[in-house]
Amino acid sequence: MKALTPLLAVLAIIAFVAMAGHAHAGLILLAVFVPYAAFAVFLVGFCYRVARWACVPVPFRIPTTCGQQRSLPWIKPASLDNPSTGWGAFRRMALEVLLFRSLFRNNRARLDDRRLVLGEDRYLWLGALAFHWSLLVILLRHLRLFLQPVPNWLSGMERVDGFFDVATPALYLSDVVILSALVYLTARRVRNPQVRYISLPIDYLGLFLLLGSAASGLLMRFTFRVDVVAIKQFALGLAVFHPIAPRALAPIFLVHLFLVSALAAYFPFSKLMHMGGVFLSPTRNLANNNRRQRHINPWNYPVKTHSYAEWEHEFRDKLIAAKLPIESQDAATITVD
Amino acid sequence: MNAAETILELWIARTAESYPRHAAALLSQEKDPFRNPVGALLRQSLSRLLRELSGEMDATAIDSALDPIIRLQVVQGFSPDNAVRFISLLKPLLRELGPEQNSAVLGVRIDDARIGQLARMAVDKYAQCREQLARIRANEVRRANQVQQRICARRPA
Amino acid sequence: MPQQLLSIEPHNPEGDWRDAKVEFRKGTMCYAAAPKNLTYLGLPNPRPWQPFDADWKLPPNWKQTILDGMKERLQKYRSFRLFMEICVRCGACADKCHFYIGSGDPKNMPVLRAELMRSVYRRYFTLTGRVLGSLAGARELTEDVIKEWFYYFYQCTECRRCSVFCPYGIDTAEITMMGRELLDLIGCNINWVMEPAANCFRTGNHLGVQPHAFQDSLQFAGDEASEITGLPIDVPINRKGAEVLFVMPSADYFGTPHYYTLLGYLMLFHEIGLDYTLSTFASEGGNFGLFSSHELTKRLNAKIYEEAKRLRVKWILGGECGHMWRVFHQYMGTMNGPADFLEPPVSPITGTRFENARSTRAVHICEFTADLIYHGKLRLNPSRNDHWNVTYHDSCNPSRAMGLLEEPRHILKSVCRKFYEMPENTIREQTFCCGSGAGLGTDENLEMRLRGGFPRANAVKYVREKHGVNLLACICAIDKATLPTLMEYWVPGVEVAGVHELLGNALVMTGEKERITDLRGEDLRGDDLRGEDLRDKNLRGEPLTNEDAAHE
Repeated sequence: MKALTPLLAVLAIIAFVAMAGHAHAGLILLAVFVPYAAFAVFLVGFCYRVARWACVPVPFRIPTTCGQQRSLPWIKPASLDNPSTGWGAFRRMALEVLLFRSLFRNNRARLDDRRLVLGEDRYLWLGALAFHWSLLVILLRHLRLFLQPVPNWLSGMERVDGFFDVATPALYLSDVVILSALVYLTARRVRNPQVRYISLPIDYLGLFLLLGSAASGLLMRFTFRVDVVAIKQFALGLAVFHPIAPRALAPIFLVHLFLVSALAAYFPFSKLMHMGGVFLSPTRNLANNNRRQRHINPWNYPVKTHSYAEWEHEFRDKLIAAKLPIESQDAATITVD
Repeated sequence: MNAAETILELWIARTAESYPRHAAALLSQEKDPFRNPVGALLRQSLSRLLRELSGEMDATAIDSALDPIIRLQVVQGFSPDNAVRFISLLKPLLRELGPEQNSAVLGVRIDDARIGQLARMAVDKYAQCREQLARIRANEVRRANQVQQRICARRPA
Repeated sequence: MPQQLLSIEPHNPEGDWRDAKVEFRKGTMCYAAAPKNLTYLGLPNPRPWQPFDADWKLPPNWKQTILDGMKERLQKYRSFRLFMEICVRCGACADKCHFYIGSGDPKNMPVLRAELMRSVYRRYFTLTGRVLGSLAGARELTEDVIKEWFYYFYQCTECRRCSVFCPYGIDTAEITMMGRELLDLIGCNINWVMEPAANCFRTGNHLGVQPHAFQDSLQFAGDEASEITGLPIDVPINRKGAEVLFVMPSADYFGTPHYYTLLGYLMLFHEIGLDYTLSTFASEGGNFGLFSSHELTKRLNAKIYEEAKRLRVKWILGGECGHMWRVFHQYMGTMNGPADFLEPPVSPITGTRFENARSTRAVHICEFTADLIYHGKLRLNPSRNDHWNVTYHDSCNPSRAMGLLEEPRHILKSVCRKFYEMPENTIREQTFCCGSGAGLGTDENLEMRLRGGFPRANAVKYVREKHGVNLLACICAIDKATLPTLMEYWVPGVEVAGVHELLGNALVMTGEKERITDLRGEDLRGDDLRGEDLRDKNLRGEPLTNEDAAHE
């Protein structure tokens, strides 16, 4: 089974961390060195990959148009799905990045009645949207650990997120959503025969790392009840590049920290880079104004063509016989003859 | 699900399995006739065939039910044997059902003679479709330069 | 019911797509390019060979050539580099390809078609691929992989449907184009693309029609249009100083049903008194170079502007064609522009400035005609199309590389009274390809084309059964060549026509004689036909409209 190797890899990481965390040297390594190194790899790698894409030219303007073009003034253009201006393309991208417009398009028309039926692929849209948004909320919530005092907007967001105050400490909506979404996405990859067939072993690695991170985070909060104050102190130290060597940190925290670090370090080498790539996709981020405004290809080079003169030379006799007008002088003489 | 429907579902599933690896799941699961026209067609054809097998065995009805499925398999590169194999897939399903149940559930007992008759009709249909392929190939070539032919016909050089 | 019957496990897929073996069989592949065509175009490795041969006679350094070619393209096309790297294999595209739907072959899922190349990209160009190998989906580039590329990149019609559904807009057409460019480097290409391309380079059009034969065809068409209408319809050719250069695909003056569309154009131009010319040098709007490489696209496209300049026209009007419009819209200005020797197009009849074409200076005939109809410049008698129950097939390129959706519909709804749309997920940007685009429309590939065209035919069949549709209108030359075949096999009784054929039927021309036939030369019985239609409605028990009642 394709998922086996990545699963074993993630489990091995967890076991290693849980054991190494007991020794003092191991603790320094895991709590200080690894996060710094991972963050550095992430930052440098991410920027490098995006810069490398950005350096490659876009020779042709090739948007995929998903609606009516802007042509005649009395035909209403689809300004979001087929933008004709830069602003329109910006809005199209916003819709794509924030709401996953293209995945949403995956509808099914049922016969006879005009009703749209929520099909499996709408679930893909829902699962993807739920996962990405809750991940964003969770990342923002983690800022609390690095900021002192905690800004108001952050507390506000946490209050909304913790709206369903059913447990102590508060159960965050985003935690529930991200776990459900990840479980759904993993199950889909394993159970849907088409998706299972196209999946690579490495596709499971990102999923397992995310699942591990989310699960360890929740365990830390609800089961092991780690010392949040100590962690914040430690995190603040990391943030100002003055790490306070902790005397002891809960193993579960180390596991969480290490899984997140592994994810960050793995990020620039993986398909997770779609986060940056989506903004650069030439079929989405360009306006469909090709005939309105010329697009320049920076490496446009002259090619060998068959010129009119060469063409006329080859077919001159036939042109003359058909009494079609010709350009060259010598040919004109023949016509007179 | 009654027994007749179960037979039908299993027949569809087994027929779908004769497709290339991994197509089967799409064929038998996705119900939208425009996203999965092949699956919709299999379902429609097989259900009509099962009805005829356990009923009138009306030649016209069988022909119109066989037509789409054979037509499809002809262009999908099925050999004649493979194209009619879906009919013989019904036999073991019925055998598991047992003879009494067979007639009780389906009305008329579907015996080997009926299945054999269906298979013969399918073979004929396959041959017809193959001939038609050759014909439409020729028509396409003819259409491609029809203007020239008309010019020649009208203005003899 | 015995329980064991119910407990049968669903079929579990097995195996791995990275096994590269493919089987070449007549009916589902295209023949290799004849050496003379490659030689004429100056392309590498011309030799006699066929895909079903065991030895493809690749050049000795083929592997390095491919890898160098990939490297070069990764540095020149952001689309290529990006699409090699950001796919997450979510599967949203999987069941969107007409070839996958029609054949069930998993490598026709767009994601896998791209993975065929991505796997090689990972092996030779990424760290994870080099280190993790097959765990990261990397594989060696072998001769079998080349054969597999050839099989599947010539089993993609570059229709871009998958790109509509991809959350990152990954466009398989881009990947297929790169795949074909790479295969070109080692001389693995198909004759159905290379012969038209070589013809086009030499004579100006894909069919290799020489100037005198071109003139013959067009004069013949002019005569036929004159006979139908009783008006003297001239066809200007190579006329300098005309306002408009009209460019169409060569099939319009060579094959049917394209030819009836040509009659429609000629009648329209005569009626509005358009000052235009055709050209024997730019006698092809289509561009089979697009199905081979960007360079060949540019080489074949150059003649359009060159001829417009020579003939000193003001702007270019383009006929009904699919990939021709992909090139005119998305490539021509960039490749061979700027067209500063032309003027921004203005309709001489309505005065409309075609602002959307002010740089490239090429207007689509449907934009032009829709504008005429909107401004009431044409007298139309849609009842002359009453023998047709019409549906409209959006061609891939005008819909997904342009967004030309409403213009043809506006024309159709003005020129015929019975128009029905196919189901929503099979039209407009979600339209299904005919299965024969991008150079695959050859007869040795017929069975594959019929597979690929099945989803389209299936939607036509639905409207045929529901509304009695008997005419499939379209604006693409490849459609007109191959949809009749598709219909003949899957939905007998449905004919194929260009939008301007129906316009030609409905167009009431100044001083014309009474129309006895439609453009196909078939009897137009006017009232008789209408009566028959009413009888049909009565038979079907449908309610009569006010219009029907008035007629009775």
